[in-house]
Amino acid sequence: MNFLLIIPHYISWHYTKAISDLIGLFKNFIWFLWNFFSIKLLLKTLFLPFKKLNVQRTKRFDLEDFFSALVTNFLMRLIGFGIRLMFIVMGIFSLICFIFLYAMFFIIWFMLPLLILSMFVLGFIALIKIPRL
Amino acid sequence: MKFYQIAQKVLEVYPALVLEKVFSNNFRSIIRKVIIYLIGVLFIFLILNLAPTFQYNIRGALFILFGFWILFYLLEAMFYSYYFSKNKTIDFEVARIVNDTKSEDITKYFLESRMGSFVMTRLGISKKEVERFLSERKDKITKDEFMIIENDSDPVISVTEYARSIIHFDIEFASFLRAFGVDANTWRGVLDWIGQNQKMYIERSAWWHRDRLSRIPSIGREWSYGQIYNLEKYGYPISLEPVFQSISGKLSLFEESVNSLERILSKQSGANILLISGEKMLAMQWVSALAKEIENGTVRTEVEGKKVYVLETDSIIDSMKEKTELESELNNVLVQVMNAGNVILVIKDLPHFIISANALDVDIKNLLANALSSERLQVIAVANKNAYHETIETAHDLTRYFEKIIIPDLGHDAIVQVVNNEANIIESKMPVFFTYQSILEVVKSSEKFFADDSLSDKAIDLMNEVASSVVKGKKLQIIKKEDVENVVEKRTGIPQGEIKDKEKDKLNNLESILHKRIVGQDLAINSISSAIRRSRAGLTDSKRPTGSFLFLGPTGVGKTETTKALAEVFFGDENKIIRVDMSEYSSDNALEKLMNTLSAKVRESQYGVLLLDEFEKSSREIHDLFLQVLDEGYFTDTRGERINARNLIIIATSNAGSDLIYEFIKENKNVILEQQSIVDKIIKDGIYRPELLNRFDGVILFHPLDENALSNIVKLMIDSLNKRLADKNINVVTTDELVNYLVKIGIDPKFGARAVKRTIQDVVEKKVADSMIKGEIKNGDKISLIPQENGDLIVNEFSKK
Repeated sequence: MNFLLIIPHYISWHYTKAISDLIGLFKNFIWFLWNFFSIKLLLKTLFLPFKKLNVQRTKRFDLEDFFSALVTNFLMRLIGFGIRLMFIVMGIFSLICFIFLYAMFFIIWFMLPLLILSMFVLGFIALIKIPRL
Repeated sequence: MKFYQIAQKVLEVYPALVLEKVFSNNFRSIIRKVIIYLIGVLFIFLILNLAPTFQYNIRGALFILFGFWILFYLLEAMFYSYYFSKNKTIDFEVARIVNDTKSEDITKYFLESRMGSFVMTRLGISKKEVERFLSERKDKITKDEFMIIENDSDPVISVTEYARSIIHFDIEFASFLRAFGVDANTWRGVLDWIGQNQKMYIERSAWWHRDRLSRIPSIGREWSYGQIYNLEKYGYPISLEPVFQSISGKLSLFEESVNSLERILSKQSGANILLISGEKMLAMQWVSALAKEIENGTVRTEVEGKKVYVLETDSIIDSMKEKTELESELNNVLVQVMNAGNVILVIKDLPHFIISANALDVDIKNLLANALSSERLQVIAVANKNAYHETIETAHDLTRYFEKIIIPDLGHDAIVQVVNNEANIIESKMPVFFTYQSILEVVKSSEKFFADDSLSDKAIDLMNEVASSVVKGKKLQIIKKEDVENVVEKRTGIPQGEIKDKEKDKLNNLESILHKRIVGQDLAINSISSAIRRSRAGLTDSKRPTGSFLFLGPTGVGKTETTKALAEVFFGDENKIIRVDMSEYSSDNALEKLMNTLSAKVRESQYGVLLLDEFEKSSREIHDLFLQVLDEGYFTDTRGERINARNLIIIATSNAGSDLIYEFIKENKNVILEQQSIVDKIIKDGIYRPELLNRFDGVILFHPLDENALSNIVKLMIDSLNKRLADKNINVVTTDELVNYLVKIGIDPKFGARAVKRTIQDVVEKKVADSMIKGEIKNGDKISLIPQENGDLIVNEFSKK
């Protein structure tokens, strides 16, 4: 019978403190994903050359030198842009997925006690059903 | 805070407490496993159709089990929600104890709680002893009498606060603890340790907390920073530093340090640091701790993701031959670091770098200052205290780019924390359990015996040695204070712990043991003996030398002899003396010279007597050095390494005041009674400053020897001559006639016993040697020497007389 003692405590937790905990968790995970994909940093450095690889031009002007540096540096920026953009998109996609899944989980959370209760009831009915021999 | 108020706070976690009552933590985890197992079995039945008739029932059972499985997970979630909650004002374990405390007996319910019995185990106090205490005591603390003495800095009521309040109110319990060597400080220490472990457990377990999530490294950071090929050639990441490997367990020690480094590095401009340290390792530990925190991702955003690289200054200088080569190569390194934008450059020994580059005529100060002026470089430079004063302090062009941090030495509490952490690590690897008293003993011994550069590492070594010395198979061994003492005794050869019988005898009879070698000087011997007994009984500060004395008095009155006797009594060998003639250290560079000599000699033998002869002749700077040595038990040598002097008996001898002593003797005054006026005169003459004299355990006055004492010395010396003659079986008989004669011709107040000794060598030994050569005495002879009126000695065969 002791077991029943816990039920009122549980139910009150489930609909009060648990809810605020879940919101806190949601914030933590969003914060984590945002940082994990370095979205802010990647946006800020979107157009910089990849790994800062670039060619320094010599002081004396030389047309060939000028154009080769221009091309290399442009390429490095292009590569940097491509890779960064890819990860930004991935990050945002994961954020959206996470928000969607968490919202589903949140809705289920409200129904969970009923869900468990119905599992017990349905399971019990099935369990005691006399098999046809 | 009253008990009923604490009981109110219990409501904050009450549901979790009820849950623990109904299904304990262990029970819940077993149930979860059983359910999973059953689900697995039923699922196999269902899939393989092993019981076709009961298909429907099996499905029903699975439904129910699945419901239970979810339910138990939800219960666990509820427990976690309260247990790991960050905004409760009572520790869960305290709430548990308070909730369980039924009758009017606070102490009993604490001791019977999970936490309470664990605390007692840590203190090596068995269940039986606790039970005996509970049954035999007279007073009980009721809920009304009990109050929690709050700690203002932390609003959460912790186990430490609760348990400290218990010994505050329950005096009987406090004295029970004292019987096991647990005073209020030890009690607090053990509780803090356990509390710390619990906190660490919570931090480790709660992976969903933001500070834990932040430790997962993010991706893509690297792409925005430049490459550092040049630095990779002449440097290495700090993770390759040996201290970095061992820093993880000590991070909590460096919390403050990392914070101050971060604060400076986060500044917009001029974010360079100069670490000035007395201990070599400590500065690198600070930097390593910072790097570790960066690795863990728990730093301010400005420092986040930075790479900490150590520049190998020797390697870059060695591989260049010319000034211009070195300059341009260094420039390349610095420019690349600036462009990379995410490197913190560490220069391990800036003064050394400056000096060695100077050999190629390269001005590092200037070069570095130029690079730093761009404000795109972040440098942490390390300098030893002395070297800093010599090379960098005056170079304002360079120092203005740095913020200086002077690193303080690690304190006692910090070392205790290191050792606590190490105990956790060792306990997780080996079947051992450290009592808290053993931990304190490790710290105490390390401070006393192994205090040099890296005290914390020495303490860790000692822990491991103790653990492996007790481990036998898989059976859990409890490490007590005595186990530590045994290991320390084996390492140092110095008896530890309870004073053993043999040593007790020695200490109790110290006066008579010393008197076997030293004639007269009763007061001197008495005060030395009692000072040493004090030290051995553990009454003195373990951070100071074992003993320290200033011996005052003229030549030849037993100062050196006393020193030898002490070496023999305490270190088992009268030659365990490091003798330094201080008259050699009076010139301008005396201090440096002495430090080199001392550091070499003390390193060689850490345990023994350090004899500083003619101490008054050394320079004032040297006196200052000894102010520190006598006070703190160590000094830092010219290379910046710490030399431990805590295991030495330091004896300084001095003739200062001898003239006054002779005057008193001429006036027929008792010299010993005039000690104060002699000391006053010495201070007045500026020979020693009062603060130096006060640092010694004792200033001991040796008075000139009277005739009676001199004749005893003559007897002792003839005895020792006989010992040397023993293998030839020749014996010189000590007659009163001979003794009086020798005292009469040998007496010289200025040189005391030394003059008599010389006389014996010149007269007696010469006579015996001559006679042996002439064949006047043979093996097995017993002879007497008879003084003649003309000053000569006649050899007679004693038996014939």
